[in-house]
Amino acid sequence: MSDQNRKLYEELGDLARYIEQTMHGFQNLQQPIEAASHQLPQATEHLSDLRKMSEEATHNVMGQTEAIQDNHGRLLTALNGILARLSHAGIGGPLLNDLEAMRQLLNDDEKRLIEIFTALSFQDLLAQRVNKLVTVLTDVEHKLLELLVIFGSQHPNGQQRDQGKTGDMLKWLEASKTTALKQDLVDDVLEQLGFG
Amino acid sequence: MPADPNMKILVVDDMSTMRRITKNFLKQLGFNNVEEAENGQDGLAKLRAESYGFVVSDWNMPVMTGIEMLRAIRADEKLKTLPVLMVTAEAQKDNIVEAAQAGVSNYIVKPFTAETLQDKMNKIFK
Repeated sequence: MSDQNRKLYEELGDLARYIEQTMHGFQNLQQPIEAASHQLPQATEHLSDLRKMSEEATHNVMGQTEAIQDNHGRLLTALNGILARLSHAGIGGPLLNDLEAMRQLLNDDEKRLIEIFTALSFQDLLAQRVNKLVTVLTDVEHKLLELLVIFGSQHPNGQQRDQGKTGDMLKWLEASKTTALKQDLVDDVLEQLGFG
Repeated sequence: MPADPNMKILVVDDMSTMRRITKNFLKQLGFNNVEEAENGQDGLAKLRAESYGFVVSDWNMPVMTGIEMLRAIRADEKLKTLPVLMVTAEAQKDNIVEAAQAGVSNYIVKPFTAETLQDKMNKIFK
């Protein structure tokens, strides 16, 4: 074998070892990629749940705030009527001053209620960011699945999908959906157990 | 011309919380005749079906975005003069330029206050 052929043979040998190492590296990556590709949809679903929960909570606060605003409106109308009648009857003094002070307090509270509404805008921004995160996670999930299809899956039955801290956290999140009983259900259970 | 407190206003936003906030602010400003739409397509259908005096619209929405709806309004012979206020978290210069070129009446960045809404409405209906 000539020197040139020997050199070529050695280089081909190096290349073959490099390809083998690379393939081995991909095989080592396959398990975490597969686990991630199965965990991502769950994580995405939990993010969407978070958005829905924040939306419901925000509507709840808004409902209460609107009810207070409506009551304030009625109180102000009534108060203005009383002040007009007192003024028409020529009654002034401390009583009129007290009623004027009450009207001022209601007006101040009205501004605070509008500020509460303004502060609740956070939910819209939160929802928009969650939506963008969900889009990114879905895209990553599709790319990981493409990789799995290209290199083939070693764990088609889903073994070792949920290993590690991520899997534990997702299991906990999943369980919290069903174990977080609402108070009326808790009361029902307590009643069945003999609590008054 | 000052805004008519009885005019019908359409609030277009895919987020129900934001529609409620905008409606509340409009109510505080004395506008009680407010209707809602969830996206540009829904909004455009309502605008073509009934008479409105003012539109407050989000930018990012599914089905049809706010900017697409705005272009459709400006291209519609019956709707082209309708004032449209864009309310959005998109505060990049390019977005503002794009909205201006599409014929927006004014532009508010989220989150916003009732005072900002009043200020912009005063500018639109001066």
